[in-house]
Amino acid sequence: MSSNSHQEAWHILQDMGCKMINKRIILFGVIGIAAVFILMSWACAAEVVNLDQITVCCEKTLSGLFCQNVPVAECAEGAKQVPTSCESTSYCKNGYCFDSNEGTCSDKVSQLVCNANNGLWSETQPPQCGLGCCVLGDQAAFVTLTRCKRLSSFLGLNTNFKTSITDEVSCVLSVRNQDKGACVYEFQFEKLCKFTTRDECAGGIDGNKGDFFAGKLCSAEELGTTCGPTTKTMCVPGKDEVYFVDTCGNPANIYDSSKVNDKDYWTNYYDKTVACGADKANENSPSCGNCNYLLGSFCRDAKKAGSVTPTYGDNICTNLNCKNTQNGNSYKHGESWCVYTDKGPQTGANAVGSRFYKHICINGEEVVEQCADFRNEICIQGAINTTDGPFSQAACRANRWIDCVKQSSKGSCLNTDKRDCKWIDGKFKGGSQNGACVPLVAPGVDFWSTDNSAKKTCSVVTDQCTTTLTEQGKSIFAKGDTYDHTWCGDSNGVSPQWAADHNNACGDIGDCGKKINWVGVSSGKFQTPLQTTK
Amino acid sequence: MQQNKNNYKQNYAVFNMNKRGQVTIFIIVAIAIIGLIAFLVLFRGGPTLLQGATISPDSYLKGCIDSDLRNTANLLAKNGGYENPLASVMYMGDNYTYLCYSAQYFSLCTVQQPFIKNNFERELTRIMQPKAEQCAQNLIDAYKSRGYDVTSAKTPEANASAIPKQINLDFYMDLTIKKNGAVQRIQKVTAGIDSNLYDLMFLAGSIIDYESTFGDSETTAYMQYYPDLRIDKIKRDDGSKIYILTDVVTRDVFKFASRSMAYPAGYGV
Repeated sequence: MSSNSHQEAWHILQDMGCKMINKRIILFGVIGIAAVFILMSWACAAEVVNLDQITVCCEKTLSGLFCQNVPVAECAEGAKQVPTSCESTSYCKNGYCFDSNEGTCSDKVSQLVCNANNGLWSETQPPQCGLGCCVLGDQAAFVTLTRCKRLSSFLGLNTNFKTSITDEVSCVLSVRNQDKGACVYEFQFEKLCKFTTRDECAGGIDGNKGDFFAGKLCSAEELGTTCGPTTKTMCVPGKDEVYFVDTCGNPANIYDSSKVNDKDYWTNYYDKTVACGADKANENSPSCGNCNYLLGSFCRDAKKAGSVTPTYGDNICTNLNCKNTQNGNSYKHGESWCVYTDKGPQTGANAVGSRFYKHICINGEEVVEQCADFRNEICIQGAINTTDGPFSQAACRANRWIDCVKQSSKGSCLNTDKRDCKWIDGKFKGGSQNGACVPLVAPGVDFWSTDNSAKKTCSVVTDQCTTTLTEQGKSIFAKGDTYDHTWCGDSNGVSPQWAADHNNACGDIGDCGKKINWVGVSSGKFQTPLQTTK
Repeated sequence: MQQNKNNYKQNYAVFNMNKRGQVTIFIIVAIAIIGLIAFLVLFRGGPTLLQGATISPDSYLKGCIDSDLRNTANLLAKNGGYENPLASVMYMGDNYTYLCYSAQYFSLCTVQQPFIKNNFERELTRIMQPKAEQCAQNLIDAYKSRGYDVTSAKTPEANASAIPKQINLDFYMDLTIKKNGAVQRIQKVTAGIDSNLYDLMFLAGSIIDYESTFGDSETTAYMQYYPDLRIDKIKRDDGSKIYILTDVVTRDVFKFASRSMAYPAGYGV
């Protein structure tokens, strides 16, 4: 081969090399640009997803709810939205909302909602929301001045608002033991009468000034009014008892069938303490209407109540107490008690689907109220000692279990001021050397959900025991070995005790592991986590 | 004996005649009852007054609006005061309107309707307006059919209001009725129904206040304080609470829902 041919060959090779290098550069360039595009599109896509997931304070959501902290996608078109908590926004900030028509004042109402409903919004408590004692005849309400005017107008009374009384209890007590009697007034040349308080009488009845006769009934002959006795009875709003009613519609004394024609009983006012059957419930009594709400009786229409027919009138003391409730016991009206639908070989199994309930005895009926699902609330019960025996009271309250597994010491675990937990001895994942802190009442999990939240919850105590076996089936961690394997496995593999303890721990932190459900069916065998290395 | 026989025949004839007479009376009474029932059925819901009788606008409009007013009020009361609530939770086939709601867990709800009664009145007024116009027109027609000269200066306007123990519907109109030189002007007529929804709506407002402030409400105290009240509170697994307030005496019912301080299942992870 000549030198020229060598040179030509070199040039050809050089050209080829250059072309190849150029091609590589182009190829790398294309790949690089493509990669940049792909990365950018990934980045953009990731950013879009994140934007959708950002929680904003939304003025109005797609479902029509106001002032909600929701993802951007759930916010209605055109609604204001700021990526911050609603409390930090001007339009959704909570404040006082005053209804100038009814005189009611609500706090914790957003400006947007208040204004949309023609209310007066204010960040701080406005003077209109100031409360006082509103006297309404022989009753009282601790309300705003506007509300007092409204209530007084409903009852046809003059407004009597006392700002000097600053709490509800004093307000209610202030109208007790008021002088009551017949207020006689003239209207269109007729001598009419209203049984009321001295104050109301002094203020005038429908604009007519009256003369007050303390302790007298309107049916008293000596007053010479148009009102007279009847055999009819009535229930008076705010009162427990059945009352006789006079021909003017005024309540007279407590219904007592033996005194229907008693002149004195239609002349003078008698307190319930001296009326028939005092200090008794008198439930379903056809002759006595001295009902006692605290003892479980109250004035009701006899026909609607479906009870016995009274000797006179249509009303009777209905029995409000509950007999033979679901647990077989009898309770008084207003009493409440706890029921837990747990099922298991021992108490505290916290069976899957079990729940706390509060039962209430109301108007002779047993009303059931659930505590929060997933055992997020527990029911607590106590009793008030009264002269008629204990009065049971129950309530649902939060199950403070959420930080139990974070407690590493027994002292902090069992601090009942802060949490509802229990300490279990042994060595557990995440626990200390000698035990672990778990909820006293294990919460439930929505194991049917597809979001894996149940698995995540249960994984808090998911543990595995790794033991290496020899070909003969003997553990290499034989006697005298310094490795402490007895808490986990023995020469035959995983210790049954270890497995049982860990399964119990699973059940203690939630509806995890092998567990019984609230109708008593077990979930079957639990899986022993065994890892074998030959 | 013959005499006795004749007497027997006579007695028999008299007996039979009496019997026939009784049957005739029964037939007449039966026809009268059927006629009365037919009359009541045919004229039920229509003009309540006979031709030529004086028309009482109050009783006429009350008769016309009564059943619609009652049904609409009850319908609204079952929906938290709304005809078409936007945000609601379904339970046992019924929708319950959220009057306080928080989309988040461990968070107090935001009041959605602070003035339940006012909203109820607005909704009731809006729904009853066409019926009120129709009833007012029926009243005009009833007057005209009795030979009155009636002029209406404005379209009747309805205004519903809830007060203790009652729900009223005011008809604001301007009717001038003339006959034989006598002139009567009607500007406002009120028709009302007995209802205790006023108290129940204020109670609902109080429960909402508790929900927005404390995350829950204590219903037993309410029931102990108000002897005629029953509160059913149903807690759903998503944290929603359904409230059914019932007046055990009048059987009025007000229903609504709330979602406040909701807990997630497990750790909520």
